Amino acid sequence: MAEWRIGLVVDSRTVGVLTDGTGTVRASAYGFDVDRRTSIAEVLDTLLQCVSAESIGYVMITGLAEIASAPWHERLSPVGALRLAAPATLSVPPLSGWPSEKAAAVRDSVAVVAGGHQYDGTEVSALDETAVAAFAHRCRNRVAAVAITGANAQVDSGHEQRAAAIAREVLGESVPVVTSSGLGGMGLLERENTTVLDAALSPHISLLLDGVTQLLRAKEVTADIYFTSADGTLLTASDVARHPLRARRAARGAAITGALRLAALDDAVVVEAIDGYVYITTVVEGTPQENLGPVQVQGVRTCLPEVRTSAVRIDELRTRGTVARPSGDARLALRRARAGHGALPVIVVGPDADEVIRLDDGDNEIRPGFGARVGAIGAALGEVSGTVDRIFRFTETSYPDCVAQARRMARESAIQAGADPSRLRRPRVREFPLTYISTRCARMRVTVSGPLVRV
Amino acid sequence: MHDLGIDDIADLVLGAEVLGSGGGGDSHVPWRMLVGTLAEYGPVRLINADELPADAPLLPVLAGGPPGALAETFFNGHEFGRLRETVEQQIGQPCAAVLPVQLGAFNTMIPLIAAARLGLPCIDADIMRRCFPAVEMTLFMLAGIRPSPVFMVDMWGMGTMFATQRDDVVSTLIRTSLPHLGMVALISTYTVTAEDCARFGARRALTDCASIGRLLRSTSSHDLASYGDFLRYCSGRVEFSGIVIDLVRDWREGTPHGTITLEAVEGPARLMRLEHQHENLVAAVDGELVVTVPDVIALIDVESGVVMQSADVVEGQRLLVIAIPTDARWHTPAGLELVGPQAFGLDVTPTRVGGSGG
Repeated sequence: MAEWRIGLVVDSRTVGVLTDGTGTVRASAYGFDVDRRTSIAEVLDTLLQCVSAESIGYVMITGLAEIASAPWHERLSPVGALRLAAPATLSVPPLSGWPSEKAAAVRDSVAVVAGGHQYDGTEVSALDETAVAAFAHRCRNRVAAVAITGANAQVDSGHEQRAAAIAREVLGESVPVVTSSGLGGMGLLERENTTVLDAALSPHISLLLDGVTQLLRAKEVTADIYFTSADGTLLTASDVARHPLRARRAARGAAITGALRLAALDDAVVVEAIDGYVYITTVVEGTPQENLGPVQVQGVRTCLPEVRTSAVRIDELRTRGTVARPSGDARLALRRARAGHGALPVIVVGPDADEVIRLDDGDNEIRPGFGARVGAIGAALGEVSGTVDRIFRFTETSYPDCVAQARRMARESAIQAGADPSRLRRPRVREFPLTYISTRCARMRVTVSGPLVRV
Repeated sequence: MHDLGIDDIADLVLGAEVLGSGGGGDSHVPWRMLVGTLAEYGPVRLINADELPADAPLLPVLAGGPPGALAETFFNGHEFGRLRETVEQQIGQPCAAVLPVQLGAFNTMIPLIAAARLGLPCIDADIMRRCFPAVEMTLFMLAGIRPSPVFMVDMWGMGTMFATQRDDVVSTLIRTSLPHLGMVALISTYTVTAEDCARFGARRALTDCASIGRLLRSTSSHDLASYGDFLRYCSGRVEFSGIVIDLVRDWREGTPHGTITLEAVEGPARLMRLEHQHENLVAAVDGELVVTVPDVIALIDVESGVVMQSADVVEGQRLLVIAIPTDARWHTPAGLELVGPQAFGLDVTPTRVGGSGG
C-alpha cells in the first residue's frame, strides 16, 4: 500500500525525510553533491533502503527553482503577451516598466485586443476572436509560450479561456498557454507581469520537471509529485509547469508548515533559525501572514503572495556574557509578530534552533526539534489550498450571500487542487475596504486549505 | 521647476503620497502612464496661473474610481482629448492650461498626463493642497465658486455632464454614477479662469509636492534624526512611532471607515488611535487629540520607508505617524465647516499640528 511520503528540500544541500501522513519520521537523508540532481538521487537511494518504491504515495519537493542552475536570463524564453481589455488600458502596453534586459529576453509578440470584464463581471467589450487568432498566427514558430491576461479575469475567466483555446488551435499543444485567472491579487499590470514571467519560465521549468520525474521513475517511484509554494501549501506538477513563480521561495513556507505540524498548532509565531538569522512569521488559522504590497521579481512588479517575515541576526538571540535575554530588537520583532493576536505560542525550529535562547518569559514556547529536517517534514505534510481574491458588491447580493459565494468558490478550488473534501479547513476570509466609492463593495480574499486525499 | 520630465516623477509621487494623508490611491498605473506619455510627448511645462491672461479658461482634471478598479480597467489615453472637447464645447472657447484638483498619488499625475497629451501647460497649483475625498472640498468652493457643471468621460469615450443646485451632493452624484460607467472615469469640475486660480488656488503645489518627496527620499526611516530637513520644509512633526496592534474596518454601511490602534515602540503604555475614512482624519494619544483633519496625517512604514494607504495597513506593522499643517485657509471657520472633522461626521474639536485648536 502506498502509505509513505517523501519530503525533499533542495537548496545548497538536499534534505529528505520519509514519513507517514502524521509526521512520524521513519528515515532521513542528506545529499551534499554540488550537482543537485545527483544530490537528490543520493537522498532517494538512502530513503528507499527503508521501504519499497511502490509504498511511496507522494513525493513533495521544496525548492524547484533551486534545482535550476542556469542564470535567470537563460531560463527565460520568448513569449507572446496578449491582453484582453480594449478599449480600456491601452495607455500602458504590456511589459511596461520591466528592466530592459528582461523585457528583451521575453518580448516577442505583444497585443491588446477587445475583451475582458468590468469589476462586476459585465464585459468591457465582446472578445475580438479575429484579433486573438491573428495574434496567435503572428506567434507561430516564434514564441515558446503564450501569456493571456484579461481585465478582471478573477471575476470572469471566460474570455481568457476562449482566447487560450484559440491560441492552442493555432499553435498546437506544444506551446504552453498561461492565463492569469488563477492568480490572486488585484491589479491588471501586476497579474499580467506575473503571467508573462510564468510563461517565459514555463519551457525551462517543464524540462526540470521532466528531469525530476525521470529521476524518480528510474528509482521506480511512481508516486504523485507535488511542489511547495511560498506559503507552504502544495502545487501539482501541472500547476508548477504553468505558474512556476508560485514555487519560488518555498523553503520558508515548508519550514513554517513543519513547525506547525510538529507542534500540532494552527496559530503561532514561527521562529526559524538558519544561516546566522532568525526569521519570524505569524501564522493565524494555519495561514502565514502575507505582505499586502506588490512583490518584485527580478525588477518586475508581480501579484505573487509573499509571507511576511522579519529577520533578526541570531546574535541578538544568543546568550551574551551572563545575560540570557533577547536584545531589544529581537524583543520588538517578537512583540510585532504577536501584535493583535494575543499571547500566541512561539515555535522555534531550524538547524540553528539550539543557539536561540528562550524567547517567551512564560511556558508558551515549543521546540519540536528535528533541526535541518523541519522543512522536509513540512514539505511532506503540506496541504493544498484554493483562493478567491476579487471585488464583491453587496447591492444586489447581500453581504452574507457574497461571503457564502466566496467560500464556496474557494472550497471548490481547493478540492480541484486535490484536497480531501471531507477534511477541508474552515475558510479564512480577509476583507479589504474599497475607498473612493459609495457603492457597498469590498475586496475579499478567501482561502481554503485541506490535506491531500489519502491514497 | 518649469519643465516636468520623467526624472521628476519619483519625487512628485512620493510627495503626493505624503499629502494623500493615508489615501489618494496607488501610484503604479498613473506612474506608468505618465512615463509613457512623457516619453512620447516630451516634458510638461509648469506655469503659474498669473502667467496667463486673466480670463483664460482652465481645464481642471482628475480621475474618479476606487483604486482597485483603477488598477484593473484604467484609461486608454483618448479620454483626455474627449474630456477637453466636451468641456470646450460647453464653455465655447479653448482651454489654456490644465489645472490639478488634488494632491494624492493618483490625481497628481493624471493632470500632467492630460497636459502632455493635449499639448497644454499645467498650472503649478491645485485646489485642495492635499487629498480630500470630495470635489466640493476645494479652495474654490470656499471662495464661492461652484463645482457644477461636472463632466465625466468613461473608457468607451462616452461623455456625460450634469449640474446640480446642491453643491454638497456633487461627489455623491459622481460616485453613484461610477458603477454604471465601469467604475472608472476622467472628470472635470469647476468652470474657472486663470485669475480664479491665481486668487484662490494653492500656488506652487506641484513644486512643493516634489520638494517634500525629494527631502523624504533623503531620509532613512530607521533614523528619526534624518527627518530634520523634511520636517522643517513642511513644518511637520513626528507624532508617534508605534506598532499596529488592532485594526477595525467597516465598509458595509455608509462611508468606509476604520480605526488603527498603535502602541508606542518604547512600551505598550502609550496608545495612538487613528480614525480614517478614505484618508486619515483624527489622531489621539491616550485619549488626547494630537491632530485632526484638515491637517495632513501621513503614515510611513519604518521597515520599507513606504508611505502607507490606511486601507493597506496590517497588524504588527511599525509606523511613523507624521502630521503636516495644511493651507491656512482651511483653518478658518468657513474652511473647517467644509473640511473639518464635523464635515466627516466626527464630533471632535479641530486640532492643528502642534496641538492648538482650529
